[in-house]
Amino acid sequence: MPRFGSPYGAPGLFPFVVGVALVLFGILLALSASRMPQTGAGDADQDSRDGAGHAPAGTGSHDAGVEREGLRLLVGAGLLLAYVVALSVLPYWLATGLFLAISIQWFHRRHYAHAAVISAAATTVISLLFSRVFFVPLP
Amino acid sequence: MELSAVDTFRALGEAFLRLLEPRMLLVALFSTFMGTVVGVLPGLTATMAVSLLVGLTFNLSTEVALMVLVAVYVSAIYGGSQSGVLLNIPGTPSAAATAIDGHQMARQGLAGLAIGTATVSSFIGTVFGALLLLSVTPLLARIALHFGAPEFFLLAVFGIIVSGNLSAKMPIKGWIVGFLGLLVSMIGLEEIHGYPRFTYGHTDLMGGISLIPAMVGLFGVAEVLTVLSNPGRGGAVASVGRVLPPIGAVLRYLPVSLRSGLIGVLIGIVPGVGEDVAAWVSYDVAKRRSRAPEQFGRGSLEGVVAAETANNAAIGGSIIPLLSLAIPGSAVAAVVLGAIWLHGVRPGPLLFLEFPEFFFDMTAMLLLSGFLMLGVGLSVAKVTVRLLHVPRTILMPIVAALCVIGAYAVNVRFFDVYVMFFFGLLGLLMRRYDYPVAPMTLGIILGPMADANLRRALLISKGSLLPFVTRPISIILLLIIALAIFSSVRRSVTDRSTTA
Repeated sequence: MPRFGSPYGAPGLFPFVVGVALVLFGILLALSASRMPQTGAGDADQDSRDGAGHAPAGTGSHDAGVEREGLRLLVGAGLLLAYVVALSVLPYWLATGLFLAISIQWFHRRHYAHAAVISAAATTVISLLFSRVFFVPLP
Repeated sequence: MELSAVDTFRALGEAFLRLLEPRMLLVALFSTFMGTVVGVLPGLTATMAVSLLVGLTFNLSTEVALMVLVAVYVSAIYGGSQSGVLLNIPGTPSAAATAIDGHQMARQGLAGLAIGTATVSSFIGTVFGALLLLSVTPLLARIALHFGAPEFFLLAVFGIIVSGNLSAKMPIKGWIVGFLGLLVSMIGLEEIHGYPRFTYGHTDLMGGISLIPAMVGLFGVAEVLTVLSNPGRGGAVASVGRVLPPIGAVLRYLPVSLRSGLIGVLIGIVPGVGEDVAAWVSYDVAKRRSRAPEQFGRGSLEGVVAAETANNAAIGGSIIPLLSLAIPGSAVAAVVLGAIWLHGVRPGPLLFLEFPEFFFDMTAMLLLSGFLMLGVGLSVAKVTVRLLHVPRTILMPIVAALCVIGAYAVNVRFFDVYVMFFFGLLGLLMRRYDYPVAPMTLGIILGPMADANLRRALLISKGSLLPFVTRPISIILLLIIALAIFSSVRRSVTDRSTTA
């Protein structure tokens, strides 16, 4: 990285300092994790990383609940990503309407007409409110 | 720059007159109502709402935009108490301490009294915070005029370390995300030489990672996805009954209110630590100092007063360092600071010279929001609690769509929507593994200040570190930082030796 005259004004100085601090914090964290008893507080990360291999003997229904939660999380994130990508291809109202209809139908699970009406109403209100009242440019 | 008490009140009065025009009042009233709704609904937090609104109000005038943000900030922090009382689900994290006793009261059929008391306490807290904002900010700004580069650098580090200490169970996790936030803020053109850092040739990265899309992701998207993955059941909403609390109850707990207000403001001032911590600390102190500590957890009105006064007082407190040092006192204040920058106002020690009216405008807005919140809270509590029946599985997809507009509207840049999505996933991971979010936002916002001032200090001293340890304010800041790090490292060591 260039120094622009003095090393003390170099653009890389601060990221270097922050990087060193992060390495030190990382070592500290690793040390405290390695010395921590397996069931100690704050080791949620251990639990989850070990989760796939030798999870603590949980009841079947508990595991199913966790699995369903994971699936819902994945679907939620996937739908949002699809929406973001769709926005650069489709017109705003169409992408938003589709996103709302599909996600409300998937997560709320009522009649299709229910999701369709809510999403159409919400899309109309959002588009009009923000473009006409708040003058917000829509993607 | 020194203002007498008379000048101060005259300037505040003038600021009020500027606010008291019909359009502004209407905006403020509507924002207060919407803020209360946001607060009431679990899953919609004050930070999320304010970060969304920065983009949505960007094209309005500075005064109107800030009025919206301040009113939503105040009323959303208050609104959380309503769902805390009725459902035992705090509508915002800062209402968690209120829910303990508030919900017990609701189960005893005293939901109206709990909500009414919470409303009045929030009002007292907001006004108390505004009055201290009025008196402390100019003092702090005057002290800050003596700050040089070393002090501003250390102040940024101090903010991240202290925020990490107070917001995480393991402070080191708070420090890590805080420093990662600093690194995030390094992306883009740096301000001394205009050299691109961490851009890897991408033009989008040249402009850097904007705070607002990152915040919308960390607080908005992460919350939406968390709630959608486990929406839970709404639960039965207790009936509310009479909301207006008897004046006797208010007066009896006035000393508790004032103490809680002071605690709230002090915690609000501490960088990056905000309303939720203030409520817990105040609740804890009230319990220990109470004449009836056994009532805490079983429906103590005193507990509701302590928690609810402190979380609203923290708002005024968090604006004190925001205006005088450009260091936000809480996560919401960080967003407000971002908004103030976007509107071309530069908070900091020179605020009183460059934008003398701005400080009084902010104080007047805070006071006005307090009064409107009191009115709205006492009159429409029965309406707002009905919103708790709206299923979250319908609400959250709509919020997700709003997140997209909120992230996009600030810079009208589609890249920001991807930034939002990325930070949403990051926020999810951070929650999963117990990393607090507040220090990261502080890191992102303080990064440029820390970077430029460290280099400036070293350039002036030709590389010597002496100015950091010879200037009085520097030494104090260094000592606090060292103490904060040392105490928590030692605590984790002793914890380990007792548990291992």
